[in-house]
Amino acid sequence: MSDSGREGPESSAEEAYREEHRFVDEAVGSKMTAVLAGDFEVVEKEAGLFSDAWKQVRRRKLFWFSAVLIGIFTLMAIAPALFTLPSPATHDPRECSLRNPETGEFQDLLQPSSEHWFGTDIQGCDYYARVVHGARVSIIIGIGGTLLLSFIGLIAGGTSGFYGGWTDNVISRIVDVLYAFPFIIAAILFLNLVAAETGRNAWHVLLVIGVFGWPTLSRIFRGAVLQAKEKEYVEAARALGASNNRILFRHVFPNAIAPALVFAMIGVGGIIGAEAALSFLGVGLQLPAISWGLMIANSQDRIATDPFLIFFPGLFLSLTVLGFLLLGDVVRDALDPRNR
Amino acid sequence: MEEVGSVTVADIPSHQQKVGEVLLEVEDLSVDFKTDAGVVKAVQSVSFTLHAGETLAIIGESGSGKSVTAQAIMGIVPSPPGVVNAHAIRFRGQNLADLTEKDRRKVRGQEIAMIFQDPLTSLNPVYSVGKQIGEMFRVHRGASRKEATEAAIELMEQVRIPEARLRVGDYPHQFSGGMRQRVMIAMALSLDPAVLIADEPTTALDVTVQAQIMELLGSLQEEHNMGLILITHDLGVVASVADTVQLMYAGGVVEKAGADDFYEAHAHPYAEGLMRSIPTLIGEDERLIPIEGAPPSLIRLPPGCPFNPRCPYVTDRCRTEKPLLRSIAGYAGLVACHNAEDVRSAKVGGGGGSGE
Amino acid sequence: MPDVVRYTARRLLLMIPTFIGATFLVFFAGFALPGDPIAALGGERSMSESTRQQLIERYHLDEPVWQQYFRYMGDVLQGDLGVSILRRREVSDIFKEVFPRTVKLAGLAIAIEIVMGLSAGVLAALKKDKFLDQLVLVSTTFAVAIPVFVLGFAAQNIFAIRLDIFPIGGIQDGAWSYVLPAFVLATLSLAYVARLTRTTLSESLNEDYVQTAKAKGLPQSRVVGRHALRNALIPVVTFIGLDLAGLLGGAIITETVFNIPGVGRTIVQAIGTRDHAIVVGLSIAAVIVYLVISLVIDLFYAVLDPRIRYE
Repeated sequence: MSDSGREGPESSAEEAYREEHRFVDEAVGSKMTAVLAGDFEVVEKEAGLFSDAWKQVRRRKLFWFSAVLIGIFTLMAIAPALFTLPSPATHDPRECSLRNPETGEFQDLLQPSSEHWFGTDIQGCDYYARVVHGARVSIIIGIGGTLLLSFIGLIAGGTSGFYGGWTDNVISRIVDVLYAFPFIIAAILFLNLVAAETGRNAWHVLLVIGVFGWPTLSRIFRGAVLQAKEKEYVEAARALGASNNRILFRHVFPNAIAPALVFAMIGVGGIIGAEAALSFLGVGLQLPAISWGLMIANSQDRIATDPFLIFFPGLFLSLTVLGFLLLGDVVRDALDPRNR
Repeated sequence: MEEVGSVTVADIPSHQQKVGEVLLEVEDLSVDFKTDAGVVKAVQSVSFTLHAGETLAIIGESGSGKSVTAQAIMGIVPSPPGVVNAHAIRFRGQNLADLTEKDRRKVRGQEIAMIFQDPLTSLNPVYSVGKQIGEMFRVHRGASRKEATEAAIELMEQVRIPEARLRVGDYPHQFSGGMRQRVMIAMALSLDPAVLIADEPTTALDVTVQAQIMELLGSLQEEHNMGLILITHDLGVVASVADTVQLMYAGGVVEKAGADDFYEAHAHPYAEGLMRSIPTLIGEDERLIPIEGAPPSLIRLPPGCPFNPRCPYVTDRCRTEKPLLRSIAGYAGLVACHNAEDVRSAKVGGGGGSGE
Repeated sequence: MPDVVRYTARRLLLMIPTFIGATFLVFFAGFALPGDPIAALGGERSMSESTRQQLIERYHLDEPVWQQYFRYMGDVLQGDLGVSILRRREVSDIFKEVFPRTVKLAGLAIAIEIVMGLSAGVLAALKKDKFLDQLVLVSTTFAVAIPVFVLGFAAQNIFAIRLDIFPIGGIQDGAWSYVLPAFVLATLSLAYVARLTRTTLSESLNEDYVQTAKAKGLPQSRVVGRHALRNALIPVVTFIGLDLAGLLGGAIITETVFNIPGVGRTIVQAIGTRDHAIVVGLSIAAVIVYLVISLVIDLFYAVLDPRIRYE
């Protein structure tokens, strides 16, 4: 189940991300680089991590590219009218009819044209209007789901790493269980149950993603907290008699947050993909909701005759995911002390 | 580079106690690292000669270029970003730069071997020590697996690792720091090299173990009549074993002399500062005096003498003109200091002896 | 070696709560949540009162959930995954039929991942910051950004419909039918493998022991291959192993797009027909496969990295 699970945040692929981005690790580089970096420049300023990162991020073209992508699709989610305005066809994605009300001609499955930029779907809806309106659900679920899973993950991972002992044991076992219980299966089973009674909406999908999506972030944050805990300044704070909470929030948390932050940024893209995948499989959003995954699912039989029905929502979906992915990449590079 | 280029091996006073065959000649070696921040001048026109049976100590703080010098001799400076320039690095008269990579590799490991500071990170964690020692025989001598293992055991016994036969299959992390360094030494000595470069071989070890390792190195050197280049920042280690001393600061050589001369009467202000900052067991009630300031950035070296911002003897000349290695009256060594004479006299005067 | 035994034993012990937790979740979600469990078992068909009684008896639906669970798991451990009333078949039979297809697809995908991902990663690491490296970075980013099902349809459109090289779906063409789906399935992991290899290899090329290997006068190929790569591969192998474990549970989306009746596709279809016996049975089988393989990976990890054994 992992090809799909991998679009969710808990798959084994993300496991690798953990490995790939062990940037909280002590500088493990060579003696050589240690000599070059350490002796010749002597950089050691954890406090300025984020402002330094911002300075570095600002200079990168890739950052602005991803910011523009994210900006466009967020705007599209907030105010789709801005995007449908210049289109000559109807601006209402739900105003569909098989015949053109004026000319009386059939207007389902029209190929893209100057009138219907993205063509029309099988019900004669203007596909451009539909694709533009699809952004909202993706962005809401992507950002909302990430916030929810980050909230759970940070609390679980932070508690686990900071307090250790049986708390850590219990939380780690729960994480193990959720790892072994593939995300997509979990989502399918639970979303399927919801559907039986009430019909599903974006909130159900968001909730399931948040509830099952936190383990990876929790593991990452736990690891980072464990490392931050061992640092001298934490020892020093402890020696000075600082309270546990103070140590956690003033010393450990800020120093451990970077990898979790990067994971969350990349995760937004992953969750947007996951929502689309669930809707595609028929366990996510249901008609009449407007979602890119759903549009693709409803058009899959037409891959040979009308591939544009898959191409346009697929393109928008991929670009949105790409935006968040690149942002995460850029921020990771900036926060990685080895890249200084 | 050209300012000091005039100094060649010929100028080095020959006061080695045991003069053997000339093994290694380094002439005018410079190493730059091209980084985003600028060009790091890690080594600048370093020259020296090493004889069989001789121990040359290269002393300096981290960042003084001593390790990079060793890497350049081995031909393992990471490139990019490193760029090595030398008039010549000759081993037994053969300029190593003229060799093909394949021939160079034969010299490396077989003729010139090296051990590193941290034996834990310098040994590959996923191979047993026997395999890592035996690899020398497998690759360079085409030995069979079995022969290689036998040879490894023999070497481990030579460096006095107890129960060598039992431990040959163990992994580096199963050994103590001192034992790991013995493994490194065994590996370096496996093909009986003529030159051994030991880069801070005892820095990562406990004090008690340090002495054992130095003793081991000393006796192995004698046994094999090797030329030993000992790179260290620890003047205490040097005193007991070195024949010749070469002091480096900010990538350049600032003083070279016979070890006895150096300890008795060094002439560079930096050497003087170093001497005063080491604790001596036999020392009287002397206070340790640290050297003020920090080593300069190797990207933006100060004009003139690189030591001038920290030097108590500094004059205007030091701030503009870079001093060359030269000999001074009454001292058998070479020193790169405009005011070396003053340093010497101040020292002699301060020592309570005759003044000017 | 006693260390290895102790390590294995500890891994096995740790697996027990995970196993119970994960299977219980599946069971709970499948059978025990509110709704008519009998109707759930029978899918959407109406059934006679006698069938109903039989089902209650068979699944002990009058017992508390945890008892039902342990009874069910007892059967599962004896190879009985339940019965699909809808299909009138043992779920374990269905599993035996569909699992080999999933194995073929997953195996091929993993092979592609290893060959292409590793070589791309090694090349990128050796040519760090050069053109080739940049190319690998950019292409892997795009590969990760395109959702699998979008990629699947794009591949179908190009390679099956326009170029007509591969069948568009199904498994009628034997091994050939699996090639295109396997590439699609492999793309994402391939990108991860390439990036992971690039990162770990360029890190390990900077390690001191690589310096040592060079100082030993070893040929470049041996320095990279035997010393740097051997260490760099430890996390890569772990990733590939976990990926395989996941894929063997059924590549739901790829199987759906390419209409391959493997474990994943069968589960999705069973959800459509509300055949919960199949959903739960196959999901539990998938969980078991995942756990067994990740255990094997854990043990293999200890073989690869001797430090682990002596933690």
